[in-house]
Amino acid sequence: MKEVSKVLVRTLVKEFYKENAGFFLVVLGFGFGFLKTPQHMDIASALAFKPLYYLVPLALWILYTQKTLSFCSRAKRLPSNWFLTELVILKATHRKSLVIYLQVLLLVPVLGYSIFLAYIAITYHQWTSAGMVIIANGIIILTSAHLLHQKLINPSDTVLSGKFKNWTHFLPRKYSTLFIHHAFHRQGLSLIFTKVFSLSVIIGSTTIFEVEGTDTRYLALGILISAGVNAAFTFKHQLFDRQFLPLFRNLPISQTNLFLKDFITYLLFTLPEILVFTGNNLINVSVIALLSSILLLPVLLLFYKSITVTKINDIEQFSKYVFFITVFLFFVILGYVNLYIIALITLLASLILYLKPSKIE
Amino acid sequence: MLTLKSFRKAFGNQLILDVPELNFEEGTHWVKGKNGSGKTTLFNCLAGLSPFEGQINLGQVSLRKDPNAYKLKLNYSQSEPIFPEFLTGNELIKYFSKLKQAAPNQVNDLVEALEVQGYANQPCGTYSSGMIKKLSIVLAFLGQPDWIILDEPLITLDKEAQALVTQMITEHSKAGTSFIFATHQDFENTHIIADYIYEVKDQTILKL
Repeated sequence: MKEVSKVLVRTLVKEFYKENAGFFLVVLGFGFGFLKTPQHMDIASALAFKPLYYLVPLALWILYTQKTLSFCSRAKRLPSNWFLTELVILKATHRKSLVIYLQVLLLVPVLGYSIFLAYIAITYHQWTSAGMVIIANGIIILTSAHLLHQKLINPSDTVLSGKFKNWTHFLPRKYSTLFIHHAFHRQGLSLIFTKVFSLSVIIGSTTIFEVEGTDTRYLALGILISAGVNAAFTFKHQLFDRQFLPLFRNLPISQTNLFLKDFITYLLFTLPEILVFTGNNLINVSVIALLSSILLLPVLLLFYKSITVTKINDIEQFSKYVFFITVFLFFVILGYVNLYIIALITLLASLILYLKPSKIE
Repeated sequence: MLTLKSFRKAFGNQLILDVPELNFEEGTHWVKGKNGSGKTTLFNCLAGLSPFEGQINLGQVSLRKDPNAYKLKLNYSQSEPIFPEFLTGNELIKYFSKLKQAAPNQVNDLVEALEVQGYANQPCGTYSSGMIKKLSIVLAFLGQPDWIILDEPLITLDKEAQALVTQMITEHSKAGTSFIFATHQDFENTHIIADYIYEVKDQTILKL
């Protein structure tokens, strides 16, 4: 059993938590950032005395359980995971206990919070409430384990069914938009998190600029930091190119052409920032100054991508580069260097890096 | 005997295969067919990986009603197998040996015969296509299957490995294991002699 459970835990449980790391980060951020421990205690005790309100966390737990099941369903359909169907060979009792174990591991966050709620209810001698929490969790575990069991042992085609709806169909499927499609579908939470952070930086810098009134360097610094926030996506872009578009290396497309196409990608990718930035500053800033700041964002992202094209293969090293480039440009901008000159030099440097033969295997 | 009755396989509205009745007697079977004719789809259904309409039985054992008994008797190696890049060959071998109830000495013999031990501790993501193919063949021979389906068993293998796989097939065949192959290589050039030949054509299977 150990050999089988090890493979299943790695294929389903670990991969689930890896894929949803961004989601858990957001949940933890909201859960422990906005609410402090005493507030959690207050909520738990209020729920213990009014068990009807347990329906709210129950609805969230069911949604989370649905998330685990839909992940497992998707994982099962991956061509590489065809071996999961072979689980049916195990004795039914072993198989079912193994699936319950998997489901418990997938539901650890729900169970952890439920134990906390039950504990608080018990400390207030609200036995019915504690019982409700325990029974609700038991039902969730058993029902979801049954559904997971069915999903795992029943044959399924690896081709995704026609029911799968591609909500980014409005975007054309050109080279320049392929990464945008990928980011929407595979990096959704991370994308939202990045964009929220990046837009907050831009709005923050705009607010400072409005207080101060004349110095557009604040706006440029906001754009610089926003580019730093988005930089991780240029690394992901490079990984996407290597993993999913290796054929393009053999096509007669010049590096200059790819450079231009990538520039369009970053123009589209930074559209939310460009719109927010323009919308907030159009009245107060001249068009020339506005354009120079806006241009810096896609240009810097293109530069970060160009570094990954030729030199860097790991995220740690890449982050160091981004950090030092941001610090360097921070002082360059503070030194009143014209933003058009910065953009032009950065663009040229990026082109040179694109044209250099890659050292990465 | 492996039998198909009222077998139909479709992807949505697109019919791939419609086989009213087909019996695979014990022996070695060669399934031919053009690319996209439905050979791999047939094998995926026979191996219990893809859903289908109708019945597939191995003797008295129905794939639909008793999939665990069926899968113990029938093993499968895909033409271009892929595995999660984070799993090692050893983890997969242990997983399949447990499920297929393979004896430890059988595992060692197979791993040594196909020279998989040299890389079995590395994750599959680092393997070449030939290395993955060898691993897949090891998995297909684990346990005591009565039938082994090998989809393009010799592709991506070097000459040495091809000879080894051919030898394994011949030995198991003599010991009573039945095989179903799909291959574009000419069988008569190898040591394997097909007892029955079929062609997957026009959404059905024709016995030649």
